[in-house]
Amino acid sequence: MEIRSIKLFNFRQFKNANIDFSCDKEKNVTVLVGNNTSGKTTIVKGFIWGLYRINKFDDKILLNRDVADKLLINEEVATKVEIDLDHKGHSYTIITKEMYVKTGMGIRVKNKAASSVVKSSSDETVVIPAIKVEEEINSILSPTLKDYFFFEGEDNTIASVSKKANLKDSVSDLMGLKRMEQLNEYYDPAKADSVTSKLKSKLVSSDDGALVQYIEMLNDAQEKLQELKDKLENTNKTINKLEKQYFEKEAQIDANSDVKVDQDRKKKLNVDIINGHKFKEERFRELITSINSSNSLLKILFSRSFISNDFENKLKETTFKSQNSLKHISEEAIDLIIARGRCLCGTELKDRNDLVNHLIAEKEHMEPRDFGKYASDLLDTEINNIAYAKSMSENITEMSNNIIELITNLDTNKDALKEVEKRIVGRVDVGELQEDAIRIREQISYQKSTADYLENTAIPNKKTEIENLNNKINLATARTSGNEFIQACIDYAEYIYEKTKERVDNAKDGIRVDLEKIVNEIFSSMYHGNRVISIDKNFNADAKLVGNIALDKSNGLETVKNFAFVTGLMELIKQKISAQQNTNDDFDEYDAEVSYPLVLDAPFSDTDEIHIRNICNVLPSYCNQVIIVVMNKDYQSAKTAMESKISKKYRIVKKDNSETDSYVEEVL
Amino acid sequence: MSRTVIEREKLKTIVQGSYVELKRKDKTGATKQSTVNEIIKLIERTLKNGN
Repeated sequence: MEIRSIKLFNFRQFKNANIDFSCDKEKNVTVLVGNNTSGKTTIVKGFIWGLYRINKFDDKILLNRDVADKLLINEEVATKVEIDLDHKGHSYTIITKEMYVKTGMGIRVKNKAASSVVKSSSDETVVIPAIKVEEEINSILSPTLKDYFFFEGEDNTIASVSKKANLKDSVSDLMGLKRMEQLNEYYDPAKADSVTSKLKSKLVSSDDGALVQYIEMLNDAQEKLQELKDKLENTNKTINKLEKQYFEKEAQIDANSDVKVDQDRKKKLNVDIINGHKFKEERFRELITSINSSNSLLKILFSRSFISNDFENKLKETTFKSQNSLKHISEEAIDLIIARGRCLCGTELKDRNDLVNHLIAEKEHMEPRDFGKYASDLLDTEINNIAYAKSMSENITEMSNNIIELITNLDTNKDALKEVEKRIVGRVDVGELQEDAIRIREQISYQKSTADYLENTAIPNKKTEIENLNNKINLATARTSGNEFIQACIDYAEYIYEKTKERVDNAKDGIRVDLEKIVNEIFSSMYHGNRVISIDKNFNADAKLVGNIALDKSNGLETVKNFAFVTGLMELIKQKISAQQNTNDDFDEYDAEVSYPLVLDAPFSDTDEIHIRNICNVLPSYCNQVIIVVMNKDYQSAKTAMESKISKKYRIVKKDNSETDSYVEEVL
Repeated sequence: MSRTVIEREKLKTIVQGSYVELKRKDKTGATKQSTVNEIIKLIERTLKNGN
């Protein structure tokens, strides 16, 4: 496939643009240089819409806005992309058109995008019937494979190539292995609906029932095997998808590492603030409890008054003080005892003046004349109270200071939190990304263990079961001439299955080895570092370090690696085509017939200048046709390396700096 | 594996015929089942004809 030209009519910014591409084998590069928003990406997206009617824009209306504004009510106008290309000795003109009409409500699509195809060779020109148009275009380049050649730089970038889920199938398809794989599948005895299985069901039993039963069991086992294989395929797809997600998360984490410190600090501050509030409440409660406990306030008040009135000294000096004080016995009680004439101990007092006089003398030590005991008790209590009040007041002071400190800390933390939040507003949460990444990694390892079980246990077991059933079928088959004929057919079918499988496997391994060699050749001329690329059986390319050198996992490396991969793929297709022309094998596993152009939009955005130059130096010699859309600054780096290979160069210009009117002019 | 000697010419006819059948299926949109049946007919025919 070689693109000769693209014409854009009323397509987004372009009212009428016509670009011819270089079809020169030696100078095979076409460069389109433009500034941001001039319409660079529109051109690449124009190819995708023109070929597959896939609208890659956010806006579903493709019609040029100036043209739309000038329309009258009910007036109709078309948006159109016309692509001229050569493919397998035919010339194609593919025109894709969408009709718009202006209504009272604004612009709307009148007829949805439809394509027409005119195919011509040296002796005839055919208009492809509308019903066959899609099939015809897909036969030039299938929509799945287009992503390996048209990089519009947004959904599909060079850096994402090696993460594509359909990579394995796509490489097989590009190398032309698909048909042989299909043939192999059609003969697969492990599949219930294969040629081999169908032939087996034609066998006639020697023992009624047994063969039928075995064949039923075989069909059942084959179906189960297919289910297991599907499950394995789905699991591998899931793994691929998860690995892609993991890679994206890692890249996001890398890109946002600067906010990580702030985000961690925010988390810590939040925890500190919550704890601060909690401690503050707790301390307050403790303070209130201790104030409320055992009449502490009253004790403090009394002791205060005791001290301020100097009761301590006054009590110490009191004349009432007596060591012989008899508490709770009053003079009145003594008078009553004397009056009744008998003491408490029972002694008669009559005519015993000595005893009466003794009792009268004892009245000296009784209330209200003597309350010294009360005074000394009060003194003891109040001295205790003073000590209690002192420690209590120290306690309360300490607790209050503690609370004040907590409140100050809270305020400081709240201010700090505001500052941090201001810095990270609108940024992704790296912690969350890291948690996601861990979660994805766990899922990957779970899925991998499932895949491992399916691949190494469940599927081999089922295969053994099928083999055993096949043996049983052989034994149960009647030795009739009819059966012998069917058996001969089965033998042929099984032989074809084994041969094709061997060829497909060998071919795939050959492709892997060849691809790895070519990709490394190209990579070493693009990348200056200590790395080699290894390609695994699923055609995943990994840039591995040589020796023990620090890891430099950057987007730039990913881009260079994938450039080498895509370029290597192109080169290998070319080699397969020329090898095929020189072979006259009975059946060739390679069916590759054609190479494709490489269409790139802003492919260098994350690559440094040296690598841009290296890539540009190598790219044109491996690819048939290179169409590259770049910003002016990247073009300056690319120019020196590629200048001798450029035969067409265009500038994309915004007319009067308008967002809705761009044009393309050739630079001579 | 085979109880029958696999003859190279017959094999070639069957493989190439199957290949054509697969291409035809892609072009005409035939079902897998009918394609399998066609291939079986082709095998039977080739072996019967001694071709």
